[in-house]
Parts: sequence; structure tokens; C-alpha cells
Amino acid sequence: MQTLYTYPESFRAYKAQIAAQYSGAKLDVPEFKLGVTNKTEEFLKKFPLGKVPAYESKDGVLLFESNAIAYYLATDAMRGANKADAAAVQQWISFGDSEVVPGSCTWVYPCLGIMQYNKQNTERAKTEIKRALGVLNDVLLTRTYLVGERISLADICLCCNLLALYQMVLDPEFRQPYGNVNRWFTTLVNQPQFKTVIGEVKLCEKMAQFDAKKYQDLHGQSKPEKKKPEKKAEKPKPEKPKAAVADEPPAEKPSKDPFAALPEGTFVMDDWKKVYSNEDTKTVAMPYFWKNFDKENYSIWYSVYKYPEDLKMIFMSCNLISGMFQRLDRMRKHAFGSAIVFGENNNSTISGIWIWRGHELAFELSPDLQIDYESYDWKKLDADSPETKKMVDEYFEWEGEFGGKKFNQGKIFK
Amino acid sequence: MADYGKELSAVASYFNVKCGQISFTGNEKVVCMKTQTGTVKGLATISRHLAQNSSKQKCLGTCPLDQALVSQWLEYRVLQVDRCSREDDLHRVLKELNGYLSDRTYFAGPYLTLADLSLYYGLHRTFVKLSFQEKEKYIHLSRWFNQIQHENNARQKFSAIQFLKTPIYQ
Repeated sequence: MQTLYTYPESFRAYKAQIAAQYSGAKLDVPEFKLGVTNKTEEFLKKFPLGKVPAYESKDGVLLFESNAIAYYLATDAMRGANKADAAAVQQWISFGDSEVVPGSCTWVYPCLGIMQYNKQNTERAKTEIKRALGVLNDVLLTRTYLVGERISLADICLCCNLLALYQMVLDPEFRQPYGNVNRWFTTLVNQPQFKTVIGEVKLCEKMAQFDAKKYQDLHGQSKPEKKKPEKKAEKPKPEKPKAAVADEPPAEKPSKDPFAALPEGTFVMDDWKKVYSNEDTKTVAMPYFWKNFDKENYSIWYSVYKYPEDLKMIFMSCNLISGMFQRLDRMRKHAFGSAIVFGENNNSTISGIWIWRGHELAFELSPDLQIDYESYDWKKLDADSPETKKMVDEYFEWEGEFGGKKFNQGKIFK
Repeated sequence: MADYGKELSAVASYFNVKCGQISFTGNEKVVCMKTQTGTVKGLATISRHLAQNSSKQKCLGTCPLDQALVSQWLEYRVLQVDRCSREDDLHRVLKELNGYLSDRTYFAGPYLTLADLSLYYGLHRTFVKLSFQEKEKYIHLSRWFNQIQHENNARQKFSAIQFLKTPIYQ
């Protein structure tokens, strides 16, 4: 008897289980409790990392790492019929691990509540996945399967790596440009050897989003440290009434909203920020912006950092921006901005697109807002010109040509 | 005219069954095969008969939809592919098949069926004559054709056709 230790529905264990279906190897999958079974002394003695899936044969072969287990359980033909094919199989397995899995986890795990959502990371993951799918799509244009003319370990491993994406987030619109990959994927998951292991696969209809409630449930009690970032977002609401009593009166007197004198207009900053934060930027948020933007009472500005030669490491530029954002807290209610670092370490520039209430340079409204603004050149943009539209779209989407500058990192003031 | 005799013997060999004596009867030269119990007429019927008597029943489809698709494409093979008398008829057929295969790996279901074999044999004489540029134009059909000719024991005495893995004309 051969034993595979895994928790249920692990895409990594699937690789091994499907390979076993093809070779006819009988696998025993005993009951397994993550964090319990794999922490026992007996388990750790065999598999020092305590990671699953892990494999044990009755004659003492012990293996961890799903690709190795799948390799061991597969037929000779599935490992590649000759040297070149065998190498190609390895190539695609590595491609899956390095080009697909990280992006997939970053994108999918927040939807399952396993990880906190971070818009920037998720958008980057989407770009990575698009790139990987594009590469695969070209390869599969002339090939039915990845290597040779048979289903190989390459197909099994990569298919399992893509499984969660296809089930959760690759909605019809997103996957539409990758017809060859879709064809290949559906053919694979409908093979009896795949179906026995993973069951019926239903392709995603609607892109899953971050599941805050599930995240809370999963992380709520057991891991107090991890709860912190979450708390920040959650707490202000219930606490506000109390805090308001203590804080607001003193704060109120000297401040007076610097924007109070300016007409309110029809553009609701809060609503826009909500849309921008929660919806897909390109397909939902930007159309919303152009539909609702009130050019009578709001203006669009372009900022460029005056001293790019002083910028050293990228993270320092990012800190510079975050610091400025903090110091501009008082205009947060009436402004929105995207500041982007272009280039690389020791050769970078910072520029940004801002919108705020009023047509004058907002920083002049209050001395509190004037610490950073003189380090930037500010240019007011014509809200009606197509050039402005293109720039605003690029800066808010963090995607585009940017006049030839290489996007490195962006930050959003909201 | 497609060589039905060669094709049927290949089909029989693929299914590992005995091919009966082949003859052509009547004015229309309908293909017939002698069996132990009588005579079976017509390419699609004979192919189906050979598959049915084999251990590869799966090749006729494993669910009603796949079975219907197999029938549909066997009929298409005889009525459309084999009756292309003019060059532009043929290209219409190739275009249609290419479009159908753009999101499918095989003609019926996610596995090889008799429909694939029949269309492969039926299109072989056409593919022999296609240039690389034309093969690239029907890129999904070419992808499929190459897949079928590599299936175990499918090609047999039919010549191997070369395909490029990298598009070069677009």
C-alpha cells in the first residue's frame, strides 16, 4: 500500500493523485488534520518539514514536494518520451510553480479569506497571470498538449496550478482572450483520470472578490497578531462616537475645513473612492469617474518631483510619498491622487495625478498642507482634453505607456 | 475520390477487428463490406459497425451528446468533405472545421472518437496538398490533424504530414 498524506482538495495533492490514476498506482489517503497530523513526532521524523502532500510507500520510499511525488507515481511516458521531452516536462512544471502559483495565491487566497486583500498586490497578480496565460495560449495554438502529443506530467501539474483560478476568478470575460488555454484546460479536467480525483469542474462565472467575513472567521480568534491590520480597518467605526467626544472639539477650532469655502459640486469624493477601491479599475471605476467627474468644481493636476537626482532606492521614494500623504491628511476628504515611482534604484522619478475640489492649488488653502508641495512642479490639466483623459486613466490604473517611463510602484492618496 | 478501401482497412486495424471484403455496388458505387451475417453499406455505417464490434466502444461516444456528435460528424464527412468538387467548396469546409475546433480538442467530447478518425482519413488527401501557409491559415484544424496522426495506431499506411509548431506567416 502507498500512502499520500494531504488535507482534502489540495491542488498540490491532486497532481500526485491524477498521476496515480494514469499509472494505476493505488493510493491510500488517510484522515488528516492540518496542524495536528503533520506536527506529530512520527510524521516529522519521516518528513522533517512537516509539509503536505507527503508520500510513503510500504517499502520505505519517503517523498515530499508534490511535483516529486507526481513524478514518482506517473508512467514513464508521462515523464517525457525522450530527453528533450523530459526536459520540456520539467520546464513546464517549473513554469507553473514560478509563473502561475504565486500570482494565483495572491489573487485567490483573499477570495477564500485565507489572506488579507491588498489591491496593489492583487492587481500585480492579475498582470502576472495574464502574462502566463498569454505565453501558454501561444504555445497551445499549435499543440493539443504541452509536450508531445500525449497528456504528460506537464499538463497535469500546470492544470492543477490553474485550477483555482479557473474556478474562482477567471470569469468569461477575463479568460476570453486565452481560447487555446481554455480548450486545453477543459479537455484535461474532463479526462476520466482527472474527474475521478477533482470531480466536476465548473468554470468561473463571476469573478470572486475578497471575503472579509471569512477572513475574519479564519483569523479572528486564533491569531491575534495577524488581526491587527484588520482591526485598523474595522475599529474606527464602533469607536468613533466615543473618540469624537474627546477629540473633535479641540480639533475643530483651529482647523475649519480648508475647503469649506469652495462649492461642493456634484462629484462625491467618498463614493468615487469606494468605487475605486472595491471595483475593477479599468472596467468599472474609470468609466464611473468620467461619468461623474464635476469639472466645474473640481480640477485635475499633474505633479512631478523636482529633484529626481536625489532619489536613491525605490523604497525610499515610496516612503517619501507615504510621508507626504500623511502630512496631507487634512485634504483627504476632498482630494484623491495617484503618485507613481518610475524607473529603478538610483534612477527614478516620481510623478502623479491629483484631483481635488476647487480650481486653485489646494495646498495654498492652509499652511498645514504646504510642507511637501514645493518639492513638486504642479500643472493644472484641461479636464476635457483626450491627453488628460489618457494620463488620468494610466495613472489611476497603474497601467499604460506613461510617455515611455517604466512603472515601478504606485501609491494612492484616498 | 477518397480511397475507402484503404481507409476501412485502417479503421478495422485501429479497432483491432477483421475487415470484411470491400466492394462497390450500383451506379453510385456505394461501398459495401461483407460480414459473417450479411452486407453493410456506406462508409459511415461500415466504420460504425467496425467500432461497435471492437473493445473501443468509447470511440462512439460515452454520453448521448457525444454519440450524437459522432453521428453528426460521420455524416458531415460523407456529405460535405467527400463531395467537395471545387476548390472553394473545400476551403469552405476547411474554414468551417477550423472554426469548430478553435475551442475544442476533438470533434466529440474530450477524447478521440470515430468522428476524428473518419475526418482525419477523409481530409488526409487534402492535407497532403496544403502548403505550410495554408496549414497555418487553418491553424486549429492543423493542430487537431497533427494530434490525430500521432494517436497510437491511427495513421498506419497514411503518410505523415509535417506541421510547423511556430506560426511564421501572420
